[in-house]
Amino acid sequence: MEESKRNRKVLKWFIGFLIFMIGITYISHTINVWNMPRVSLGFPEKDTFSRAYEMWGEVILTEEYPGYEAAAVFLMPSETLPKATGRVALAGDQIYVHIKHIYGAAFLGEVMSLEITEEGMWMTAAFNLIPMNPEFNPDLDSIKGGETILGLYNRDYAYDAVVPASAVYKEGTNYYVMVVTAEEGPWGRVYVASKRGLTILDEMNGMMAIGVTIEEPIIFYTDSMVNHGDYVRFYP
Amino acid sequence: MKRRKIKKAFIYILLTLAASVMVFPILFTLSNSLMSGAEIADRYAKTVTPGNWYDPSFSGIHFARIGLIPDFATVRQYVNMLFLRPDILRYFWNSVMITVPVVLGQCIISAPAAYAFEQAHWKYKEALFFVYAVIMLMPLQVVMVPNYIMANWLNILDSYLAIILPGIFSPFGVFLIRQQLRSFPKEYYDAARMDGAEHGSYFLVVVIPAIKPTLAALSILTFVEYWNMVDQAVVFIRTEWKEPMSVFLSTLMNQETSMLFVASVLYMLPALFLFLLGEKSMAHGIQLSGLKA
Repeated sequence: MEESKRNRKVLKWFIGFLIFMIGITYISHTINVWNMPRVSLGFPEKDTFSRAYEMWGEVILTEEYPGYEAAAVFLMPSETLPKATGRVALAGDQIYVHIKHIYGAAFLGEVMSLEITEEGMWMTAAFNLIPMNPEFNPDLDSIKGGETILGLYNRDYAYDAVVPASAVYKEGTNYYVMVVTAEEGPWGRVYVASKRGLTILDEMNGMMAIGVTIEEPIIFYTDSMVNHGDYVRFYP
Repeated sequence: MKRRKIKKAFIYILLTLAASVMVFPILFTLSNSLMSGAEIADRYAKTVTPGNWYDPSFSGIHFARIGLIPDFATVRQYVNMLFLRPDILRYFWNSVMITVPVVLGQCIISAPAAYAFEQAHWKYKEALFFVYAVIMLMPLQVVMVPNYIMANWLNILDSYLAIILPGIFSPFGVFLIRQQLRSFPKEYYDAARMDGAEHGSYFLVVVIPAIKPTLAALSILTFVEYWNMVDQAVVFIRTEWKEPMSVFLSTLMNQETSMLFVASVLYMLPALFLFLLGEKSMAHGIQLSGLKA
């Protein structure tokens, strides 16, 4: 009789313990979900960056320019270099070349090669100069040096994957985005953030063109720091 | 008379020492679970840290400061585990999800199987029972290989079924219950037959109540075996969060010592409850089955 009374008491405690464990597991899980960083996701989209460059500097044309070929060396203030890419223009860009000394004549040119030196400031560009004014005759005036303005055409840069700059993180010299994948976790489906390295092709107005194909959703915005392997939840 | 007293005292001292050795791990776990995470990290660090520089060390190697009394007692680790670590709780439930079906399944399968062994009359019955006994005596590691092949064949690897199914059909339960049924008077069955009872009703109304202590003993022994199981889980379970607590504790030992002791306390509790619940029944059940614990 005594033993069964004791057993009943132990059983009650045991059941109480199990109920407590169920409750505490639920509470713990809920707290854990609350503590997860909240993120909003998105996919990279195709976009076009449209921009015009104006380059100021000294241009020294070559001594001889049969067929109106010329080479130019000019000084670029480093501030004008886009921060993300360090790229100012691409070979193949069309440019206007204004040479003040020649009656304000403008030349349509094309960047043949472009190089940033170690100092990051000097650029060399080679042009095939095509005079905008057919009456232009280089022999009429000296075009060796002098002050000049180089103006690039507006150019559209089409990219396959563009994301907000807030989605891109920098670690040393490397860039990465955080992608989210769904996994089966201890308490059902969980969403795990993981790093995905990439290269930046271009940046404009808070958007970045990335050079990698990513099929998983990317974290565009988050309310707190997200690390590789973190579980995340979404904004409602 | 005096000599007898000395002998008695000597035996008591020996028994006390033996009991202390048994109780020490439990006391050690309980007391260490009341230490803060930082204290545990300092005490059991392998290298000298700013928090343990005063402890004995040799060439930068820190000797663990094993002790029963915390510098500052706190329940912080319990709060952390219960409220902030649902992953640890998941391992606890993993153990429950493996152990409970095995215990229930073994009770449900073993009792009728043992009854059938006892009641059925056919030529190779004892030979088959001998095979049962042989399988029971085989080391677990030997049986695990065919079990693994079967689990792979049934495509249940990395699921609890790979552990539960062999557990349910373990021959130990059948063996244990049959040992008791062997001493069961045949007259009971004859009397029941005279009252019109068939095997089914005789089994449910007469046999089951009579073997309750043995079932209790079987439940506790199976529970303890599967609650503490490591080998099967390591072999059959591949996903980390599906591991039972018994395996996860070793991971904690290596990766998160500060949580080890509170997790161990949590791990001890169900077994403790079950033992308290069936302590007498277990002793009685084992006695009835003629086995020695």
